[in-house]
Amino acid sequence: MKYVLKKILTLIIALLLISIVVFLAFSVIPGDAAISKLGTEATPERIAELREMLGLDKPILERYFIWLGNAVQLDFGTSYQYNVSVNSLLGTRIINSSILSIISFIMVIVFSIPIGIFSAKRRSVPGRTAMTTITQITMGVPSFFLGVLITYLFSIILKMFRLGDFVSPADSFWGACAYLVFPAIAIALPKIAMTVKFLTTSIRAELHKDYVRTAYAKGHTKNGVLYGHVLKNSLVPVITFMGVIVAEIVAGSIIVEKVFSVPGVGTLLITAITNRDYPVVEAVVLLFAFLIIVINFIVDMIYKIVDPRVKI
Amino acid sequence: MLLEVKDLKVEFHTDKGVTKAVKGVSFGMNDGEILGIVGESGSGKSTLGMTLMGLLPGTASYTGQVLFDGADMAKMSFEELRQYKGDEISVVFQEPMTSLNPLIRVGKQVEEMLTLHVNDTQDDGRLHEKLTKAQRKERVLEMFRNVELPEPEVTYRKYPHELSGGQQQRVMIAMALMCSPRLLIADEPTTALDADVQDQILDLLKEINRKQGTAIALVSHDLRVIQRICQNVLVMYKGEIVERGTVDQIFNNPQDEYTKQLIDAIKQEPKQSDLDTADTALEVKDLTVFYQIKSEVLGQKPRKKIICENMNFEVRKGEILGLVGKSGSGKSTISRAILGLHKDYTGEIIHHTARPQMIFQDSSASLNPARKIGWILEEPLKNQAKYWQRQARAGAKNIPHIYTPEERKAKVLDMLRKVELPEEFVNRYPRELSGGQKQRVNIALALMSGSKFVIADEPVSSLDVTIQDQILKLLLNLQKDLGLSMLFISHDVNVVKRVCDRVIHLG
Amino acid sequence: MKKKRNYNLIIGCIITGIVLLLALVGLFWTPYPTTQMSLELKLAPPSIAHIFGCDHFGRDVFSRVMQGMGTTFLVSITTVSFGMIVGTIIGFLAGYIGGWFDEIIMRINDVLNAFPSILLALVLVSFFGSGLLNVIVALGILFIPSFARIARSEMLRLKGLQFVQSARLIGDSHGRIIFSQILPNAYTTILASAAVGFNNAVLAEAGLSYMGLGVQPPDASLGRMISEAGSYLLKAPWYAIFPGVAIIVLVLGVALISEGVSKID
Repeated sequence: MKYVLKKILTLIIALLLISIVVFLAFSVIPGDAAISKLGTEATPERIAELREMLGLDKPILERYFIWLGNAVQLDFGTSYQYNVSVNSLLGTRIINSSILSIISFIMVIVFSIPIGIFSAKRRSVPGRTAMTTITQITMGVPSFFLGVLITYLFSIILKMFRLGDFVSPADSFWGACAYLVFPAIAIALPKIAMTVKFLTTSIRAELHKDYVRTAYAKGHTKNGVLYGHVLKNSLVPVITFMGVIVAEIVAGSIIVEKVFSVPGVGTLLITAITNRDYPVVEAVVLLFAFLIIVINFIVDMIYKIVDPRVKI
Repeated sequence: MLLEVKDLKVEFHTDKGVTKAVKGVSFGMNDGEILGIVGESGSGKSTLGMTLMGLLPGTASYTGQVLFDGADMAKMSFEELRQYKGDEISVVFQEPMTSLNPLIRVGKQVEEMLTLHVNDTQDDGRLHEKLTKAQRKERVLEMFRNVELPEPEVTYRKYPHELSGGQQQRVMIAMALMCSPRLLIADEPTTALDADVQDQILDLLKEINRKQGTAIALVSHDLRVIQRICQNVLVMYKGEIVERGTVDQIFNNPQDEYTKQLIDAIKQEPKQSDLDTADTALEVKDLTVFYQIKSEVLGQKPRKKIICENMNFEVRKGEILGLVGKSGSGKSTISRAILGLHKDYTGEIIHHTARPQMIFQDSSASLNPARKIGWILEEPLKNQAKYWQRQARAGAKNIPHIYTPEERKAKVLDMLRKVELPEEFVNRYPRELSGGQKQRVNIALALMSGSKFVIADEPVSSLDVTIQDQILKLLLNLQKDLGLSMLFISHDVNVVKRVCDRVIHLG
Repeated sequence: MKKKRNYNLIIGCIITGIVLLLALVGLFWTPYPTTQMSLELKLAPPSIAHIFGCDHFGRDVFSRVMQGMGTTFLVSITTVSFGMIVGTIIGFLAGYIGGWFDEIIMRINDVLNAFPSILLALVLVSFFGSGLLNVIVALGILFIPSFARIARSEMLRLKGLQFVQSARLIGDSHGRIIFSQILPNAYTTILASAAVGFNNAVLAEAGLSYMGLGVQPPDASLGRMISEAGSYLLKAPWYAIFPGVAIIVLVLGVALISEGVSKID
């Protein structure tokens, strides 16, 4: 219990640190929001007026605490670009992006574990080389290029979906899922390859351990050793690796959303960055930070439960 | 005859070529016999044991006959062999900690034996009936009692890491005996354990043999272990059996040269001290060594873990003082404190000689793996040269002669000769050396800077007995020639008795 | 028995060699000027004259892929080298000195390491602004933490070994222990992570330029080409495919080399 409390405390500190860094970073950027909003030709009076309106004339520390106070209440201010609250921009986009990430994650779990086991069982040199080459190539494909290829194959040739025809999950949940399967493949494929490689290495490493020799000495069959003894042990490090994978999926969704024109958090972030819409950027970055830290926390907890050697 | 091995040859195929581990070995074992197989690393004794169990890695191949109860195991398929493993032949390994699955409760691991051989096709009328869950557990608990595990019910639910080394080995033995095998192969079963636990485990094995008539093949590098429980012995050297006979024959009347060396190495006479000087090289007064353990909670003061309290001793000039203690008794920490590498201590440590040095236990990293031997040995001289050059620039008087790079190289070669290593070793990397050779380099490094006081920390404990013998002789010769004073740290009472003038015990 | 060939290493070296040659030549010379437009050649399919075909302005795709690879390669090698040198120094010092210095450095590192590189790159680019130089700066900073973490764990592993204690006993200075005794033992690990880092850099650079935040037009970049080609997929799929394959090949070569190196003792 003490351990959990300590973890949560460090979690909050990390979030606070990130919020400070994020806020400061975007506050010291030359050419502040007022100018970027009005353009360089605006009169100084007009700029000063807007600065006051946006609260940019107050000292930086005060601005941070005001911003933090609002952020804690989940109020991230108003978008410079759209002139609406950041929350209203985020609302449905978070749902879209979450569905996309969840589908991708399910794909990774469902495919990588059996493929990983299959790959680890290859003993012959050609079999191993083939598996390594396939995983290496898949790992090296940029997800956005994969997105383009998938669009070409499933949309243009097979006509299974039309690019840009995304239905909001509010209208049809399954319709949204059906569309999101395609970007999810683009996100998941390289991650599947990464996980397969990781699991293969993990299983092979376990196979050299002494307890495997014991298991053979007991009279287990080869599959008995693999499924009864090795697999459980080799999946333990995969749990930690899943934390990395989830973070990568979330990050990968940013760019793939753009390829498939999914109205998600990622597309919002890219537009916001190009237009220097800082309240939106700050909110999204904080959101991602929160998500990643929470995921790492969960992974830590699962790890503690699964491995009896680690004490809570 | 229970087991008959005829002209067994085992080869390992690696990238670097073929290694012959066992070169045509023949022997037999009777029901209820305890056979010792003794040899040093590389003798093929463990390979032999693993071959009997069909546990050789994929890179190995073997020819010859292994007749178990008349059936040739060498001709069996994996599936046929599998039905013998754990059922008729069982094994206990050296490292109980890593040999148990870390994620499964020990009770379950032992219980597994009862479900594994239920459907075996062979029909020998032993323990193949299907048992209920409760019956299985009862059998495991009964076996836990047999191997004298404390609180069987509690132990049943524990994970391997929650048990002590001795208890883990008892679990391994329980597991091996679960299907009442006819042959038990014990591969260095006590090597990883402390001395007193070693004896208990050996007694347990003997007891099992007496009660159940299980034949035991005990593989060990340690003649004392063999002597304690075996009836017959095979001595192996470089893949061959060089001598065989009863324990009495081998110990009292060894015929083979190599066997004689082995026996000699453990029968060394204790050293007769003839030292009569009062000058001291090192004085230790009221020494208390401890560790600071950082607190998990912020702001709390760190705890102290005391390694030793109020130690007082002195090392006289030209003397070898032995320091004996069990593993974990803090011997190494004390020596590091004496050399100034461990700062957390109170009390006084007074050196009366310059530049005390240490001979480390041989390990894969006692010498920098990335550097050649020549570079490693020259390093102390380079440092000395740099030091005196700095002193000279600062205007100090009495600067001794500063060695030129050529002179330094010559001194390195000279030192290699002193530790009886060939000169071309300057261009070798540590990984190209054997354990004994590395230990010679370690000694050379400690003596390189002309030190007169040396701490030797378990200098031979990782070496084979015959190599130990050579290194100890070298160390004694150098000590006499160079007039060294030495603090000799070891867990091995026999080694200490042989080398040291005086001995103090820890903990 | 014959010694097993290290196919990963051999194939990786061949691929990387060819790619490197094309990329480096592409920085100075290409078969056609990369900005030469032509109406007749608009979206022309691959032919002998234009083996990768032409883009929507009639520019030669092969020439632009060469130049794009050159840029990507330069960006990746610069950023990874920067991250490796700075990260190794920081990580080594943190590991060697320990105490509060190590605590602070590593807490910051933990937080940064948890973030996928593309996300951090986005944040940094939005801070510095887009453009090639800013991407280099952003990615360079980005790679420091991962190298610092690896260098630190190497230091912690090596620091505890006996030869380091022995070095202190024979009078080595701290600088000499770190750089002459410990560093040579860490080369392989650090270089292996440099290969991983290089691939991350290639993917991050391509991703950023795909989002329009990297190299600015009219200069060629692989990511931007794929982005532009997205609108012409129906008529000219090759326009998207060749730059994409170029990225894959660039990454694959280095990945195979590092895989092969890890199999050498």
